[in-house]
Amino acid sequence: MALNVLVVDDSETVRSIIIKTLELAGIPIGDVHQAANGREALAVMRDHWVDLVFSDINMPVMSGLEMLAQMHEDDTLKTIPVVVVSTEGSTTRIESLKKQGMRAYIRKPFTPEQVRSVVKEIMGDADV
Amino acid sequence: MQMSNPQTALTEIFCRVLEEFAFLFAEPVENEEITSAPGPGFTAKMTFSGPITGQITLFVPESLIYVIAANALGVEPEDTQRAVLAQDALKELLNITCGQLLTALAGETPVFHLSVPVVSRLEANAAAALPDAVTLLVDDVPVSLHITVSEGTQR
Repeated sequence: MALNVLVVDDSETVRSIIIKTLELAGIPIGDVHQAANGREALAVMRDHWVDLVFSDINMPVMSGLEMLAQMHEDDTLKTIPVVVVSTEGSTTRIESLKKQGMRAYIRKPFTPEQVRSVVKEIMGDADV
Repeated sequence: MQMSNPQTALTEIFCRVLEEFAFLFAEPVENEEITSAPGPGFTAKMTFSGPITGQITLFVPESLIYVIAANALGVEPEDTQRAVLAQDALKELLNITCGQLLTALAGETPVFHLSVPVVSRLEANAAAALPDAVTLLVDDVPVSLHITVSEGTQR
């Protein structure tokens, strides 16, 4: 089954890199949605079917943390798995993100193999 | 991995990140070995604060910035001629380098605040003039790196 993904980052280049990496990882991708911040991402999730979200943390307008918090308050959105893609390496910060609903964490720079492994872990073998 | 010399750590980590991010190899050289001026380019700067505080500056000549963006995106350099795309790639390169550097310098536990990288166009390589700046050759093009660090400053 092809996955509908949402890529959230304020950098167009980073969004393109993540999408390219998903393609290189051989993950079956359906619709690809993009958002430049958490607020745009929430609007996309309310208007479209999204299977998996890849999101940065530090973004203008609405951060990834605030997006996670608002998703958690929404019965429909809280079931959508969020993978945080960030440069941060702090285990303290990663544990905090897990408590706020993050399903997985990918640290930059990343490889297609790492992305595939994370998607497989979340979505299961049948979807990847 | 704990490193005591920020400049040495920055150089090593930048080389590794550049290789993984843009498939380019960098080699440190002495400034005297640079025979030609790099020409106009872009300076990216970002600050970090936490258990240690500081700023990283990166200068990349214009001719190289589009190659970095193209390699990172997996497209041809002519497809990245939009300055915003190329500058975005430079910001991301610095952002990743900074994140990896802080783990190397301070370990995996501390939480840092990283500023958004700021890119500005310069007619000459101002970073190379900074004390302790390191110059690296990337595809025979000189790139300069500089870091300032002060310890024990909590945000």
